[in-house]
Amino acid sequence: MDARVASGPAGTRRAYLRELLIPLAVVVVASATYGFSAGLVHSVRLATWNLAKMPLLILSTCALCALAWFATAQFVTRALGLRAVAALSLSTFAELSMLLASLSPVCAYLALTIERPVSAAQLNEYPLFLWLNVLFIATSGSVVLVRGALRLARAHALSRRRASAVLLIWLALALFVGGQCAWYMRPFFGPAHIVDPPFMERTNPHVDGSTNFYEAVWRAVSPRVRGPR
Amino acid sequence: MSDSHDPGASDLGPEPDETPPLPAQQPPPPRKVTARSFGDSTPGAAPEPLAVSELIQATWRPDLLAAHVLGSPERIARNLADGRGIAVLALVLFGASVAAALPFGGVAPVGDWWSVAALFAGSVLICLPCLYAFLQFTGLKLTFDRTVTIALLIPATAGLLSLAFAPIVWFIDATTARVPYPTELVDAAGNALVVRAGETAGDVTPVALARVLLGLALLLGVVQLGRVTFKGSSGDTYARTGTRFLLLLWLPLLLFIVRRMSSQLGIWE
Repeated sequence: MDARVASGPAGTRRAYLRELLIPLAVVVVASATYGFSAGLVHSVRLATWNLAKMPLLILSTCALCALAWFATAQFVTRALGLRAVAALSLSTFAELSMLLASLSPVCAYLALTIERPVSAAQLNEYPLFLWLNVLFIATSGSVVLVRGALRLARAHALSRRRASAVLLIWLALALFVGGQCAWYMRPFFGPAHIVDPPFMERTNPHVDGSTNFYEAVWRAVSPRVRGPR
Repeated sequence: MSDSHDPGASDLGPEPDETPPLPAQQPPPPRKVTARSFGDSTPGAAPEPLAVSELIQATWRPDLLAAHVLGSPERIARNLADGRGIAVLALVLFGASVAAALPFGGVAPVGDWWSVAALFAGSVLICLPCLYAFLQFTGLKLTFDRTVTIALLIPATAGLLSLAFAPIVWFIDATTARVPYPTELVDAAGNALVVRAGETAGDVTPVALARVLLGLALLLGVVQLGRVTFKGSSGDTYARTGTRFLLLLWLPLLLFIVRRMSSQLGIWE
């Protein structure tokens, strides 16, 4: 069966562009909104930088994962062609961005009203803000994933198990790649006592010596980690 | 007006034969989606083997190549059963094994640009003669072209997946800080360790992550081999229990050769 046939609805060029451009615009606007609200915990300057960095984070993750998403989708089910993969992945991120943007008033309120950290040893309510944002992202992501799996199953006549497998694999790839993207573009927000942060840390190692995202996670979870360099 | 008036008859003429009403239309039973309808948009429909024209088209359409190699195990199973287009399929799989693995080798911080292609295709080709010989010797008379096709499923799948992972491994390597190894590095016994120029020290390096992705691609290649052999019916030689058993015995040998070759190619120390 030709992969092009199984790729989804109307095959006109304009319909395809609409399928891509509208979610793209939603990702840019909505993720920028959330990024701005989260960045306020540090400063208006960081919040303003996040207007560009959050969409860049999502779009660069999508670009780097595109081939892997297509290949793994083909491996699990041949029903998703290139076009369907592109449209589905963008719409998934658009929905996630919209949910996060809906939480941006909450995030902004918290960012402006928490008890600010004064030093590395006295972070006050900053860890609470950090973990709440992790909860926001995890909850929004889970909702989008469940809805996406059900919609994928209906639209492409897949079993729910297969649709869920596709989205879970895509999520794993997005987290794997997006983590390193976020590492390269950090900081997105941080404790306010850190003055004059750069626009992006890029390849600068972390204070604990970690050279990439995976090493930072490993050092955070491993009990037998080497000390700072 | 009729003289023989039947009280029950119509004045307009005899009643038409009364036909019994049609039974109510019952909805068709739901079609059972089985494992063999995997990937098909019409569950239960017999898949067609990959046509020669489709395979030729896939040589310049990477998306079709991925669709056929990764997403059509049931159609490849039909090719193996019917024998149609086997030679072309084997050539396409060999081409995918080599060409698709080149980008990963070109960007990954392991080995040379040709190392990954040589590892995937070379290790299978080294182990191919013994697979064919054992199949013939044990009475599972699988033809040579079918044997080659089955064996090449692993490197072709691994090659295509490594192509998909190539942008990821490039990005990880390009965005990881370069912290050189200390000039004096010794192991627990106090022996000096060999340090290769250009490597970075760290707990989780791009080299390690590249190896993990390669291992994952190879593992999924083995999974694809299993899917194809299980798509066939027991009447097909390649799908018989004996063939599957021999393939299970052959896989550890293949993985052993892959491990040794990866050391020699500088992919895994």
